Amino acid sequence: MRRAILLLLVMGSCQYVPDVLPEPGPREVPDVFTGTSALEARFAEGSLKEIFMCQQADVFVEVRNRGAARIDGEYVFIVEDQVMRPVDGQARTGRLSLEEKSQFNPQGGFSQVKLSVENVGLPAQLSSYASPVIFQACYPYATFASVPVCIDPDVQGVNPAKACRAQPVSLSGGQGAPVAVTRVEPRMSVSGDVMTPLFAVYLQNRGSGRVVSAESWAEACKPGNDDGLKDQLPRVSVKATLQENELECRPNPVRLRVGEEARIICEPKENELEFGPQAGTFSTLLSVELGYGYVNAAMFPVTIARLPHQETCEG
Amino acid sequence: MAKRGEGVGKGTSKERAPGRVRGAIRPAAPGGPTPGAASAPAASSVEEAADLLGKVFRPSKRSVGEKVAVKLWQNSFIRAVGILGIGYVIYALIGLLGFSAWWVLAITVVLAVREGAKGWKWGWDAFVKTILGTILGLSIAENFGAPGMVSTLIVVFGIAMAVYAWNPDSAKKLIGAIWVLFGPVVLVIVAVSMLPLVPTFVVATALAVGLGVWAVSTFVIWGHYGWLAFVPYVAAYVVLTFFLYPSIFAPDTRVYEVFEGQAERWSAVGEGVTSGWEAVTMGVEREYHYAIGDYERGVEEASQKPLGVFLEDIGTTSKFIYRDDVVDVFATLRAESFRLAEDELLNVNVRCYVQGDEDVPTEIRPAGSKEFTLAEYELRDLDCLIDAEKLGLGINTVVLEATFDFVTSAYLKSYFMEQERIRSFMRQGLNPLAEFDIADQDPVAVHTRGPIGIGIGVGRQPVPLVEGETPPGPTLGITFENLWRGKINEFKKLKIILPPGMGLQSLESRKGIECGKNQLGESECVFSEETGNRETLKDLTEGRLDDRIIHLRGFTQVEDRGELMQAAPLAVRSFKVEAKYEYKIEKKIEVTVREPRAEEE
Repeated sequence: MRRAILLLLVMGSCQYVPDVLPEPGPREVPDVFTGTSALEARFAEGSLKEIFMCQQADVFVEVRNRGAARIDGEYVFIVEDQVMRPVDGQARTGRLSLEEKSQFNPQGGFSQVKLSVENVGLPAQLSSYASPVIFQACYPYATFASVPVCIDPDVQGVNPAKACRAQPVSLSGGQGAPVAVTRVEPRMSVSGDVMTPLFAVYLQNRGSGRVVSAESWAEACKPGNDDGLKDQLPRVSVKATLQENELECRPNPVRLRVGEEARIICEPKENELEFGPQAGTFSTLLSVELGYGYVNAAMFPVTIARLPHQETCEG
Repeated sequence: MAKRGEGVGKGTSKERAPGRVRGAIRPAAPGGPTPGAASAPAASSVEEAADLLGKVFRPSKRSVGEKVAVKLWQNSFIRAVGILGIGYVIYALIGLLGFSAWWVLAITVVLAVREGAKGWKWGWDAFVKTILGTILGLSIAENFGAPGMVSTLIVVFGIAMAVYAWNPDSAKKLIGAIWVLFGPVVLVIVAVSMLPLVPTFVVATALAVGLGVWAVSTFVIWGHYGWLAFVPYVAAYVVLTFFLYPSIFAPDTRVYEVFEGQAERWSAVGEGVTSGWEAVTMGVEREYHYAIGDYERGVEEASQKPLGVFLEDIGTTSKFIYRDDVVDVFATLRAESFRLAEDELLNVNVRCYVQGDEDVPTEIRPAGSKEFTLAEYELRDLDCLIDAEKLGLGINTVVLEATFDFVTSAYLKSYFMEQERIRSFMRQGLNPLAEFDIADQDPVAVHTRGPIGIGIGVGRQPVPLVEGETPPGPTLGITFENLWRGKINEFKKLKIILPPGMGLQSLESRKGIECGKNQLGESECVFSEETGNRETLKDLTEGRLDDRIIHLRGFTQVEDRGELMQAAPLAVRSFKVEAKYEYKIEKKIEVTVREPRAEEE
């Protein structure tokens, strides 16, 4: 009897609990297509800055993908071999694979790269020596931008109550990649009764690294021949799509100059995306995809100190 | 213009005061006619008190002697000379610097008591003016034991003040004449006294400027007759120094000591000027070589310890030695060096001799040692003994010389990059080294401390690598600079170390240099007696050891690009130079030899 009453009480109280556990509301999805960073590399706190002669040191580099595209690239450690050498023939190069930012992983992929080095001696009578450890990462990257644009065949402005107006669109904050689309200027090209939209798209490197062409990103992290090195200029390939129609963009690839915006003109292919007056004014999305290579570098100084009794590291 | 006998000093009245007695102390006229009372303080209560005291103690009757003394004392010129002369004599006798100033104060009090307020005013003014000159010399000279300076200052100043008290216009002319005739002496005295306080080059510069001002002012004051100042001045100096010196400045007299102190200061001045001038010439020579491309920069390593061998704390057991004594010059030999290999301990040869007469036998102690073997951070005391009978009377210069082998190293961090990559960066307006987060984009060679500095240069960085089988590498410049005041006797070994993958094609147009590989894979080119490059080392340095800057130029080539770049877009490499050389340092000290005491008595 008591158990039955207790059970009834428990079942009854559950009906009056709704305010204790609030109902889950709509979850906020983090916008991953923001920011102007891709790979963030920094030497970890635990890396030894000062070592004694003949001593070993571990250098740790924390790498994180802060962008919206996956990183599949390579890294290289540059050290001064005459002073510090990787221990036990440790490789100075390696692959780098980091997930992009996503709603499931808003922080982006993270990894730690380690290099153990050993001092092999100092010149005679020298009491200390500073040598840099340089970490460089090279990888292909992409920028995805979706820009709301207005297609307005009514170039004469007959309809005062249009859904939108064809005006330049400025984009700030980046798209989750170092090369950002900064603004888009739609223009309507009229030929008889037909109007064709074309777009001036502006790009700029807003990241802290260096842009290289998408085909030669690997050469940025290794020695190359003259032909390969000539291709190291910062070229960005552009693919623009409007209503599932790929646009022709020129110049493509476009060369980015340091600190300056690059401009490309994207227009539909012949006989595609022609709008007559009956099409009406409407808003749609212009998708811009940029492809390029990117290079980040960081330097870490290591000081080697000689103890008074130390001569060489041999024996 | 104030007439003779009238009160002098600033604001002197040009009117004759009523009831004036020639030579008497005049009543104070507006503007202060009392001699030397230009800056007398307004102390009416003091004057009244002095006046009262004078009335109390002024005798009604004076003896003849007193009258004569008072009359003489009433003459301002005699009074001035007397006060300062008495003070200086007392100073000369008992060596109390500054006593003359107190003597003037004492006289002032006496004057005030006997002559009343006027005497007080004059005395006060004289006291103040004397103090200004004396205390300056006192504070500077007394600290550094150069009695000659103060005595000169007092005498010159006293004469000028006395004449000024007598006749200001004549005094001005006299002061001008004193400046023209003795300006350089005064300037040197002041400069010498400042030597321990300020850097030598500052003193040397100030002295040079002062002498220049003196030279110009001579002609401003005396016009065309300015030339007359040089001739008598130089002639008097020559006569005094070379002809009258033996008789006037005999040893053991106070005057001799005064001028001996002065001579020491002159010698210190000379050394100071030399050091300053050397610093200037070193800087000019360095800039000249840099401008013509024959100088590679190098900076001294920021080590806490100076490296090298040092002769320090040189001194003698006694400054004045009698002929039947032994001269004992002592010093400390100190070695500062990082630990060297077992077969490379520091061997220091010590030698002691008399300048100008190296045949005089000397003995180095510890007994029988002329060669010391020192390890890192070691001190040794040594003595040099010389029989004083073998030396001449007067000042002798003993030289203590140490010769040792020393090693100085230098390195230059360099960055290598393919030329086309560099061009790619430049086309984009990017700094190639900045793109690798390198802050030090213009590295300078760093050399260890020691007597020689080494600079290394490879041209603009990053060093561009061109395509080809064995493309040319950077032009290597090496500069040796003698940083100390000693002498390089010879270079015993020169080691040039190139990064792995590089070779030395030629050095100073000499080809066929033998180089090997060390354990780090570096190309090591050694120039010494033991290697095949011995003749090259001799050729490179022969006839150039006395040059303060020795510059060598070599051409390199890339023998293995892969080994140099190590599969990286940028290579961080270093060029190293190690030089072993024999260096000589010396220290000098003066010893004065006198006749034995028995002969004096």
